[in-house]
Amino acid sequence: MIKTATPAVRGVQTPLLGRLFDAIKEDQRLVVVDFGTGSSAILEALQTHRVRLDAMAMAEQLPGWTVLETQEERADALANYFKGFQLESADWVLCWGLLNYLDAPLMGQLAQQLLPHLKPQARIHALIEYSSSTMPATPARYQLSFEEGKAHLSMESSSTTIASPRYTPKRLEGMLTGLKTENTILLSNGMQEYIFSRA
Amino acid sequence: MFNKSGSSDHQSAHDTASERSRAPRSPQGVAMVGASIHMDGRLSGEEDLLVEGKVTGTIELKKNTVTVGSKGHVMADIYGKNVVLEGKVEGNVYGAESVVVRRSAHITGRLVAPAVSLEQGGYFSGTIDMDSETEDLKKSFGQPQAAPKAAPAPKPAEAAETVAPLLKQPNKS
Repeated sequence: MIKTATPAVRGVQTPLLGRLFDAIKEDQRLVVVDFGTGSSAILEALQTHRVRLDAMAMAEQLPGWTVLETQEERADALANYFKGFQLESADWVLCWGLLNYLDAPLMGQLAQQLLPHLKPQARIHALIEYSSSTMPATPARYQLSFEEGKAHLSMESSSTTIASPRYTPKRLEGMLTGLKTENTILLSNGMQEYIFSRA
Repeated sequence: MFNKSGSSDHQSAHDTASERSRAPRSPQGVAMVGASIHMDGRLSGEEDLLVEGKVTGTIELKKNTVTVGSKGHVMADIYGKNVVLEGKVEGNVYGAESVVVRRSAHITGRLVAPAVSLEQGGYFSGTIDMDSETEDLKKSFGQPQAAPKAAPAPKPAEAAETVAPLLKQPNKS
């Protein structure tokens, strides 16, 4: 069921993301895959480092993938999309909100495509709706900022809401084959912040 | 083909200066490919360039600033010291020092430079490589380029673009 709500900009401190930034080494070449739409803010945050950033804007592809009839077609579409980016092995993957909008098969296919592009020590940073029974009808856009040195994500979300899947950590691990939860925190806005790594 | 390299032995400095004085110019005095011009081939030279027309091929102005204006449409790889993108680019963009992307730009391709800035509030999809030691930059410009300080603060943001709506509801766990 879709409910109309006032447009919302929600913001929250994200301690686990802050720890990722704190751990960047001085002369490290950092390869970041952003499943969301890249923003000026993330570029600014990374600008003092040697960085490759691939912004994949996956949310904009979802409508096309979800209407495909068979799992094979969806897997092929996802694989072709990944190929188009010619990804380097990633240190970080930013996955803010996207997993809320994927069903179990698509989440498994995403993990399958992602794993070959991960360095052994790669970290996947994810935000998931957890406490709230509703979420924006379409994936939010996120803006990163640092307030008093602490990482902060603001979400620009659509004006309608739908039921939230409220995936639990255990359920997510079950769907994201090949990945494990390294750390997770319930944030003050009711979202769950995750760091996943290779299982 | 539009080649303004001016490096041939028989060409005098006077000739070069004379040629420059005849080249089309923007109101700011920068060499310009006008809105009605369509160029096909390798475009090179040693002065700053503003593209408001259509260019297909390659643009190589490795010591200068290349600006693709809001009316410009470039279907080419671009090599410049500094590159400013306001129009449409289908190709990879290499900046020895910087690449600046304005909100009006539509880019299909990679952006490679020690510093890449996106106008405040802007969004993008694609690949940005900000590594002064990357092989792409070494091949294009020789030795590693020094990363300049962050680009000046871009203009205030306009309304954000919208994300395409989803056609299917997520599964419940």
